[in-house]
Order: sequence, then C-alpha cells, then structure tokens
Amino acid sequence: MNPWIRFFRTEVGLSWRERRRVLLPLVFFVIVASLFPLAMSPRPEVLKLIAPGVIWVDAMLAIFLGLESLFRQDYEEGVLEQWILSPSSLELRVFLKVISFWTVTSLPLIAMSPILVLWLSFPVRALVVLLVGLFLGTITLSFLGALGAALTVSLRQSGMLVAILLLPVATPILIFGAHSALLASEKQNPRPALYLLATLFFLTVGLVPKAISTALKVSYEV
Amino acid sequence: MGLDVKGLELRRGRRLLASSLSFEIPNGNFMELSGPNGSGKSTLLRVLSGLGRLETGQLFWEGQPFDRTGDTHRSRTLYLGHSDGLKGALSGLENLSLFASFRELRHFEEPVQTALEFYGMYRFRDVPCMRLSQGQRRRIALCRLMAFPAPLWLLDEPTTALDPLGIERFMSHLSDHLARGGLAILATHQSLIERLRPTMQLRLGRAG
Repeated sequence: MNPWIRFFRTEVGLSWRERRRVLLPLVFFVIVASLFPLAMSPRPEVLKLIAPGVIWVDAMLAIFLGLESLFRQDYEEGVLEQWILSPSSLELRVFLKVISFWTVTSLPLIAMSPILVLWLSFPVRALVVLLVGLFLGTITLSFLGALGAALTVSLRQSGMLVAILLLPVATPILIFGAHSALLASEKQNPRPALYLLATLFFLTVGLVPKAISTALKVSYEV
Repeated sequence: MGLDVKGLELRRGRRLLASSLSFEIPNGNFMELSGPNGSGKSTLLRVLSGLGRLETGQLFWEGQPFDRTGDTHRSRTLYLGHSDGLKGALSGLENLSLFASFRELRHFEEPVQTALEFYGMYRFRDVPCMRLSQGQRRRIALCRLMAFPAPLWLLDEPTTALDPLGIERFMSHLSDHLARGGLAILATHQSLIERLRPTMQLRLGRAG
C-alpha cells in the first residue's frame, strides 16, 4: 500500500479509536444549535432568519474546540519529532493529518446539519447551498484551527488562546458562508458569496499546510 | 571521512553551553557523549539531527557540507530522543509500520519482523504500546534502528529502562552497525559501554 494512504488510514483509525474526541464536538454542535429556539422566540420567521448564522457559528466553535489538541498527543509522544526528521514532505503529512481529522469530526457535523436547520425552519430548497458552503467552510476552518494548534503545541491549556487567536481570522469565512445560505433561503443568488468562500478555501488549503509545518518545526527550536 | 563537526556553538535559550566544539567521527566508529545534567548532550544530538537550531558551526558528511534539514541528511540519520516516539494507542507492529510510512517505505514487513524477533518483542507485537512496560517500549523504539537501516545514529540515552539482556542485544546490534561502516553518537550517563570501547569520548560541561 502507498505509504501516504497507510498514514492517512492509521490517522483516521486513531481518531476513531478515541471516539470521545469525535463525539464531543458533534454533541456540542447539536446542543448549541438546539438552544437557540429555546432562548429566542420560536417563531418560524425569526428562526429561519437566524438559522444559517447559528449553524455556522456553531460549526466554527465546534471545529476550533476539537482541533485545539490536534498535534498535542503526537508532540507529547515524540512522534512529531519523527515526522519532522523524516525524509518525506512534512506539508503533505500535515495536510493528510488535517483532512483525516476533518473526515472524522466535520463530516458527521455536516451530515447532522440538515436535521438541525430544518428544525430551525430553514427552507429545504436552500439546503444544497448550505451543505456546499459547510463543506468548503469546515475544511478551511480545520486548516486554520490546525495552524492555531501548531502554534500552541508546546503550551498546555491553550484552548481559549487558540480560539481568540483564530476567531478574527476566521470571520470572513463565517460571513461568506452564512450569507450564502441566507441568500439562498431568501431566493436570492448565493453564488458570489460561495465563490468568495471557495477562494478562501483554495488559498487556505494551498498556503496553510506550509505555515503549519513551519510552526511545528519552530516549536522544537528552543 | 564520516561526520565532521567544526566550530559548533551550543546554546539552550540564551545560555552558552559549549563554544567551538569540533570533532570528527570516521566511518565505523562511535562517540560517547558524557557530562552532567544540562551540559548539552541532548542539545548537541538535536542540533545534529536537524531538530535544534544551528547557531554557528559547520557540518560535513564525507567531506561535503550538508543541509541538516534536507532529505539526504534525514534519510541517512536515525534519531532516538528521550521519548520513544511511539503512539500509545497503536501496537508495536503498527507503530513500526507507521514509522515506515514516515520514510515512505513500501516493503518493511520482513525487516520489521526480524527486528522484533531480535529485540524479543515479537510475542508482544500486537499489544498497544501504552500497555507495554517502559523497557519494552524502548525495545520497540530500538527496532526502528534495525528495521530501517541508516548510517548515522543519534541516540539519547538509548539504554534507559532496558534490562541487562536488552542492553546486551543493543550492544551487539551497535557493534554490527559499526562493523558495517555505520557511525553513532550516544549520550549516556552510565558508562555501560565496557565491552565495546568507544573510539571517541566527548565530555561536555565544565568540571565541578
């Protein structure tokens, strides 16, 4: 088997073995989204208006909370230093690590979101736009979250720090993502927002793995 | 020939540990690093591996200057630090297979099996590493040196937690490595290397 595929499968298997790390963000995601109809007016026209925003903010927080410790265990077990010292592309390894984590944590989130938004009176016809947006957005957010995790890998208890570090950077993704879904639900053209989201997606996926690799290397240069 | 180090400066943070460190290790030899805690043994190994930062100094391999962070240096070097570099949730066999993927190797089953047998860990190959004892984990980590041969070994206290039999295995493995023209730098506290005289010794840190 190709060594990179073997690495990816091992990583997916490892996250799956620690189901707690997978299930907690998902449970968090579901609970937070269900709090809004309780806390606000449960009128459909209000819920319909806030549904995209709620789902997007919720997804962003769930991803950042889950990703905070992405490299922590590899760092503590000394596996990360073997990554860096190996004669193979660190960027590609980082890319696969993030994608493997996304597969296990964000895919269930995306799969769960139709049920949640329909509960929030979101129209079915705008569902495709929401899902496409979430697909692009969760991958982009995962890479940003991984960058935060890499920058703080040698610190203990960095959860809040990572969130504060990343939330401003992640705002454009939130704006374009949530607005594409909102526009679609109001029968307007969501494409411009989706295209901007796609641009951010390609920029992030293209550039951030390099930044993550550098951050990881620097954490060893005491 | 072999590894040649000229005018190396070692620092931990801002503290200067050693200045103008120079030595040459010919092929087929090993150097023992000794010195009190904090004298820079691990720092030196990390700098040579490419993990630590190189402040000043030059490094040569077979007379040629080299880039510590290049793939050529990485594929000829195996570094074993304080931590075993094993994922606790994975078994010894899975860990070695994961390590093979780091080095982009496709065929590793046979050498890995030989290594596990040599270090007496074949029976425990499917046990998750977090359920192994420290010495057993160290044996699995040492299996890497055997299954994935590389000419330069940088080992930070490789015999920690090993029992006498494990140490004996390691010593015979090391002498094989040297006989094949490999070189090694070992940081140790105990001078357990009695049967196998190190060709060179480097004592770091000021006396007293």
